[in-house]
Amino acid sequence: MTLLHDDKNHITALFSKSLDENIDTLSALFENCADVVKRKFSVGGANQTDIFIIYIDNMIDKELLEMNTLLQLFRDLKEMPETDKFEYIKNQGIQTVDLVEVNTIAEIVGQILSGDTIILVDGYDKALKVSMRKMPNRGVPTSENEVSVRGSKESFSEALFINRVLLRRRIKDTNLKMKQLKIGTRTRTDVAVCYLEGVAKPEVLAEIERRLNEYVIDGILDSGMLEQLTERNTYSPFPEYQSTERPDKAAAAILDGRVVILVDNSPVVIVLPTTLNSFFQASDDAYTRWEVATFLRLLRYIGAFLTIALPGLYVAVLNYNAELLSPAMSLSFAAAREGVPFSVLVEVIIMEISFQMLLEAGVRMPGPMGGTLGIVGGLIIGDAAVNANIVSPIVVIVIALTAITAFTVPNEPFASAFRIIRYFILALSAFLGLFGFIIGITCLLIHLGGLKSFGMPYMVPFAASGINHGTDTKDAMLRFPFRKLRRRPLFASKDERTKLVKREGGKEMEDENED
Amino acid sequence: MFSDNDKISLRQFTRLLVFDLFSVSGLIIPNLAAASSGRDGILAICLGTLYAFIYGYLILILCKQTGGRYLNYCDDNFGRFVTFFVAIPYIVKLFLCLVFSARIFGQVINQTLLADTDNRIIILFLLMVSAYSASKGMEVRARITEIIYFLVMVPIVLFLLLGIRKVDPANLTPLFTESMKDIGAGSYLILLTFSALEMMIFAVPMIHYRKSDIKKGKKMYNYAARAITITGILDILMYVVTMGLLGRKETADKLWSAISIFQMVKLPGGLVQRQDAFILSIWLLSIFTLTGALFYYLSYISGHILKLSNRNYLLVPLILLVFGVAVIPIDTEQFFYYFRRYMMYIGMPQSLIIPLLVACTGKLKKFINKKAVVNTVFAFIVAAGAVSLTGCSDMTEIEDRNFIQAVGIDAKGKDMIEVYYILPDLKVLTKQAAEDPKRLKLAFADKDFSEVEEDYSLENNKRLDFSQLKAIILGDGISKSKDKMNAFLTYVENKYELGRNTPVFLAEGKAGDIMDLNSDIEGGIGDYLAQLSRINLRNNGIKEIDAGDLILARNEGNRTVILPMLHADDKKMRVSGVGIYSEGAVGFYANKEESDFIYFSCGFGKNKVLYLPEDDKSNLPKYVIKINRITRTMEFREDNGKPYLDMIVEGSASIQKGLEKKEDRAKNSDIEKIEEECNAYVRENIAKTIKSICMDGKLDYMNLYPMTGYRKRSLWLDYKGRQADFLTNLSINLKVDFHIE
Repeated sequence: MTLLHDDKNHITALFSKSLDENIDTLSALFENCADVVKRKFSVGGANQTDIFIIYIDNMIDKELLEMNTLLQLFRDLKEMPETDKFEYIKNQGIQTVDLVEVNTIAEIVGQILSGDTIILVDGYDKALKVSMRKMPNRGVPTSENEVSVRGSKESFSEALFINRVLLRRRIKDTNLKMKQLKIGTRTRTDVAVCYLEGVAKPEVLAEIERRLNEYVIDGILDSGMLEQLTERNTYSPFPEYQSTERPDKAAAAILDGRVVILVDNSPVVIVLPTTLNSFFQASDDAYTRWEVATFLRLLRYIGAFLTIALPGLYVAVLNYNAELLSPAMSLSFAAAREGVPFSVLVEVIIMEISFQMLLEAGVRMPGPMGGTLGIVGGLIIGDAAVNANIVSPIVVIVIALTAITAFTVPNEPFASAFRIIRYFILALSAFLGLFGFIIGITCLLIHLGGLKSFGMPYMVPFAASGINHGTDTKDAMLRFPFRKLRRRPLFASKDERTKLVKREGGKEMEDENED
Repeated sequence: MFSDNDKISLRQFTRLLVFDLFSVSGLIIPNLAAASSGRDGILAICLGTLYAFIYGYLILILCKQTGGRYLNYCDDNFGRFVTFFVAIPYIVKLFLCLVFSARIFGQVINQTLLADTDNRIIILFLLMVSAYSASKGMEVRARITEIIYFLVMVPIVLFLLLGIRKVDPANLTPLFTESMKDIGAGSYLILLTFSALEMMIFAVPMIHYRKSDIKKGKKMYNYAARAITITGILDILMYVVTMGLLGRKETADKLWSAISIFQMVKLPGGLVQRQDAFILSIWLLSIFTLTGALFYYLSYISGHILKLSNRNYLLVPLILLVFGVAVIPIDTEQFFYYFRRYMMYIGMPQSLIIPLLVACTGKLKKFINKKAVVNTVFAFIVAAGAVSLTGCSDMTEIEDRNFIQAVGIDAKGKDMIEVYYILPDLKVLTKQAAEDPKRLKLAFADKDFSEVEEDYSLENNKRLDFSQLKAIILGDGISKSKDKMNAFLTYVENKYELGRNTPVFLAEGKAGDIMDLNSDIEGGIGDYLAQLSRINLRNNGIKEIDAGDLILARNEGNRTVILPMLHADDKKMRVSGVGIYSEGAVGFYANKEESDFIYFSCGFGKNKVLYLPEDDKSNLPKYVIKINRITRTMEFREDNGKPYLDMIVEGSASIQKGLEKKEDRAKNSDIEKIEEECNAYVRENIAKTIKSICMDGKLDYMNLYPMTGYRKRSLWLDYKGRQADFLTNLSINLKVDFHIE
């Protein structure tokens, strides 16, 4: 707490009619802030008055400020009246639509920090906010983490205003609402809750708004922090929100009645509610033919199962239930294990951890070195380890297959949860063989069965396949032909479930299955 | 949003009920039906299922009478004190069911999946996971069941349907041979397996009726009936496959005998050698649903009478209590005996009597407008007994096992046996040269098989593992001795690891001679015999004989099994004939030529080649004919109490050698002539074979008498226990009709 702030870091300084007092206040607030640019001018003809302009360097368009605002202030205010100077400046001196009056010091500071320009006028306890933001940004980058073969290549960026545009460009509907709020007493991060009014469930909106206001935090730097702050399943590795960097995916979610949260400075938006099935849906599933999309989706499900189960199953079968293997396989496995100094479990753990280290190093390593790391770590060391009989070739295959299959799931946080669960199942399988493996799978199912994301059971539609006329299952493991997907999923309000109707004779034919 | 109201849909209710009714019961139903009603077990199951419909209906009626919320109804009408006494019998019953389920599955898993692990560890884990499932509530349990429903049901049904192919109908027929009392007792026992229906009385308030359900007039009973129907069908399938593969004796002997069929049914594809572990693992998923349900209702009822807001706190003491009772050192069969008696005389009657009393008294009280006056405080004391666990799970790494490829058994002296184990050559597999062939054959001589195993463990640093065993070869010293054959079959029956689907061969002399050829045969003798059995013999349409067939024949007593016989030549071996197992030992041996006609008379012998001799038999064969297809039709008749059999062996064949080049008409006439000669030749030889083996030797090698069970019931009944008379009186009218193509 300082003289100008309360214990929650809210600015308590009062707005004065005296410009000098206000300048002193702002100077005190922005003391030692080298990036803040401020200057006092005198404008007007005979009835000259003092004004004070303040902004943060490189957060505004300087050219616009000088050519469109300052030039006009000095040139066009010759007939300044004696009274109502503030209104005169507002109406005659500034050529912009985005002009707002601000009435408190706290507001002024907030606007300055957000990249707006503030003009204070002597004798008035209000100021003008002129929006001429021009912050450095990456523009609209290409999606790197959720690559698709077909469809948009655009990705969200760190700038909230760009992200908003990316959504608005895709959904040109006045019902697309973007409620904006600030979170973080120090970072004052802009957070936008985007949804399609009438389609998104009001109770979900109310719940997310309640959760966003539930905590007071000093700062939010990324959507991931907001996600953790507002989630309910804190002790579950499975995410309660779906995250994406693809605007088309976010737009599709909004159309399905889901809510998208944009967080300033974060290129990843979060989508809610979510289900396990949502994590297996890649954005280009909707753009490709249904046969291909179905095949790929099945592959992802199989991949996800393998990534959880393969190491555990390998240990369980080798140590306890070798009869499950065909004779040729069991002998081949036994032969491959001959002379390996570690037990099967230790061997699997060593390889698994090595691979995870390789993965982590690959992520942290500067780009050009990544390839070298893969070759040295993956190929050379792996081959040397097998040749030196430190590990068996089978375990290398198992771990490699496990690693590859993990990447078939098109959502990294979700795939990471699977990577963690894998160790739990591995431990149980090593302890109790196939019985332990089944215990692990059962525990996982029970856990997933109990999870909910904003009231939506995680296992929908598999756990409630008949609900919503069974249409949710049409876009689950199998993706039905596009024309068959006539209804929105359970995320949407009950009255707004129809999304596709066939026009016949200029008349729209409602879906027969309508509620 | 979905609400956390602990409500489930009607469909979820049906699926939960199917798992609750079938998961544990499915394994013991074949035993219950076979032990109580013998061959009429299927009738007992049908009747028991029929009773279940009535039982379910009564439960729902009583539930309706109590306003749907059974325990609350008790509270409102009689007060908590009475509710306490109403709830106690349910708690006792659920507790005992839980102990029984944990115990039986602990033992099954211990016997099948985790042979070296302490049973207590298995039970503890089983209980913990079930309690975890119960802690999540009804909604989550219903969701999980919906997810795993098809995952569990589809493989099990497919597996059972595949199993039906192998079923011997003689094990299941004739029907209506047991007394009505036995069938009635059996059907009551089957009804006991449906006792989970009783839980509907507590589940009813948890059912969520959607508007559409109400509109369509959907009733809960319809859904319960659907679950009973599905369970009934599964029970029948399970019984048919178990009884059909194992026979009455083995099915009735062991409570969970059904587990043995998991080994015997072969899945197509060949990726998995033995699928028993796979099927059992899938089955396990459904077990957790039942044990979870028992925990759930146990905590629900206990929580209600204790007025606990969070019933999950009860789960920990419940785990300890159930665990404490489940590990009491008492024989499972004995425990089941007491449990069955409890269920018969207390468990089942109470499920109708208590709600009936509650409903009637409630109505009466309302009628005379009296209020409950007794409401006292009571306590439920939970005793927790922690049982210390010793050690961790035992396991052996794959490279530390000796996967035995083939086992040879010979008699040695009067009492001793000599057992040979053939090991795989792992060095060849890793391309590190080859193992000394002598080291790949281990020989042990001892009094019985367990002593042989002990000798092995003293001499070898790797665990003996039979899970990949490919063939068993029995020397003549073993196969001819009833005692030694019996000891061998008992050993196989009790050693779960040794698959019942392992092919069995006879050695013409000593099994050791065949085993000596291991180093001369590429891939080893195990591989060779597995291929011989699965490819060559099957190509000839010869039924593959495995250890399970011999056990069935031994247990049923009146069965015979035809075993292929091997002969060791210099550095190679060949199938030299067959031996016929009957009444505990191999009592008849036939050479190659005789064995062909033995197989023909049994309806096998596809691709066999016939050499029709010249009149002068010293000359080369006149015609060489290949049998392309062969079928056998049997029809039994009874005339003046005497059995008659019309036996037709027919099929198609092609002439390989002996047909002269002629114009079409003349050629056709030649073919007809050859056809006649061929049929006469086969007929003559089959008749000769039947006469010498069946009539003169009194050896029912075609299993004719057991066959009457499903072909001519009256004959089966007439000659029950007089099989030798059946063969003596039998007249066979044989017709052979091969069509030359």
